Amino acid sequence: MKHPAPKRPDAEAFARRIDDAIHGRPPSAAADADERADLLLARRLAGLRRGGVAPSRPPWLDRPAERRRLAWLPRWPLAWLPGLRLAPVLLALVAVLGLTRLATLGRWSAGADGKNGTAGTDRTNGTYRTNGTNETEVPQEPAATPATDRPLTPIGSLPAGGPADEPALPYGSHSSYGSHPEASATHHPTTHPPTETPHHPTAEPPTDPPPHPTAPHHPTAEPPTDPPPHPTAPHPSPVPPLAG
Amino acid sequence: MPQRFVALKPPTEAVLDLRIAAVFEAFYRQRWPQILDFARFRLAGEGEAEDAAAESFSRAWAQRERFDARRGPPEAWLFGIARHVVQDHRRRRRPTTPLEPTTGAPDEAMEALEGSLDWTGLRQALGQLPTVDQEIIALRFGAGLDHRSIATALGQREGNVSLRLHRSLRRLRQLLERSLP
Repeated sequence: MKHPAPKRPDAEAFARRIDDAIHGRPPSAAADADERADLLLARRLAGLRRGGVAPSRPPWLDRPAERRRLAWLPRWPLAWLPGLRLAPVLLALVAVLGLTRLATLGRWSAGADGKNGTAGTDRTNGTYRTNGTNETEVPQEPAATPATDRPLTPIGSLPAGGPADEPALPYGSHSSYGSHPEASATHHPTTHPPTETPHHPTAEPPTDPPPHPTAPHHPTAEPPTDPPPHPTAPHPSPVPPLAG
Repeated sequence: MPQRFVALKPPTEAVLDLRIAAVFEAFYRQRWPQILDFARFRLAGEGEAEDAAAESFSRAWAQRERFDARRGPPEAWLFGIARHVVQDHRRRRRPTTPLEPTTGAPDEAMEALEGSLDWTGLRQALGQLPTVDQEIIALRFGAGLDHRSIATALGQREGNVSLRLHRSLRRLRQLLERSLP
């Protein structure tokens, strides 16, 4: 048995009748009972609308990403300019790096010239200095103590087989462990004639004029000539003249 | 008097975002009641319907770059998104118990229906219809869309929407008549 095909409603007519029912207009007289019931149901369904007011805060602003991206834009009018979003962060970063660099340079410059830096700014207090590699140098002892700082030892009292086991040098020669004070002071003992030494025990005439104070300190100057012998008390030089 | 020309520069991306945000917010305030009523037809509680409506706008904002005006009006695109949101909500909740079928004369049932149609009975009756028919009824009577917009939102032809609406109304009426004492 063949079933009849379902009745296909006219789309435009049905939509118009639905609109009439939704807006409260009475159905047309051509509608049958079933269609009247359908339209009545449509009106009841449309009457269930309650609507509502949208929340004042849009829901997409509650998403974390959108909150970060948009929520702050109206509060900061200049922030829409590209590149300004990271400006505070970049500025703080540059400031920190700059201060760090300045502090590092200050320490380098204080230690590069061998000084301890500007007074009041160097907190090393002279105990160490940097060598430019961010490593502190261990304070070192002086490389060589000047000969004048060492205690003097008479020539004749040198112990046999001394500390350096050196043979006793003749007077006036350069020695690393002490010789004549003047020779050590001037560091040019060979330029002094032996007659000028004041250490001769017996040859010191009371009337001899004192040697020129600057004479030992000017090694390039001409060696002073012997003072003229006293007319009344000539005395022979206690030191025999140098041969040759 | 010398004329003054104003150089029009293309707006930056941030300015465009602001403009789009302003337009979308106006669209949101205009369409919120429709989306909410659509969700009320499809979901159980008022709170769940509001959540679904809010999530629909959130998804629409997140997917705003996918909107193509050549494919239909923006409300059809928005309700297409709302459909998926409501379906996700329905999947997460517990299934509803169908109504016991009742018998009665059509005229008497309709008279009783005049004053007894409520959300609970309507949702239970709607739950026995196919999902597409539920969506068509919700879009037509809840959101108030016309047949053309419904067809665009569902991706169907307008004639097919009218036919399905006609059949689903009759089926729904029968279900409601049976549910009345």
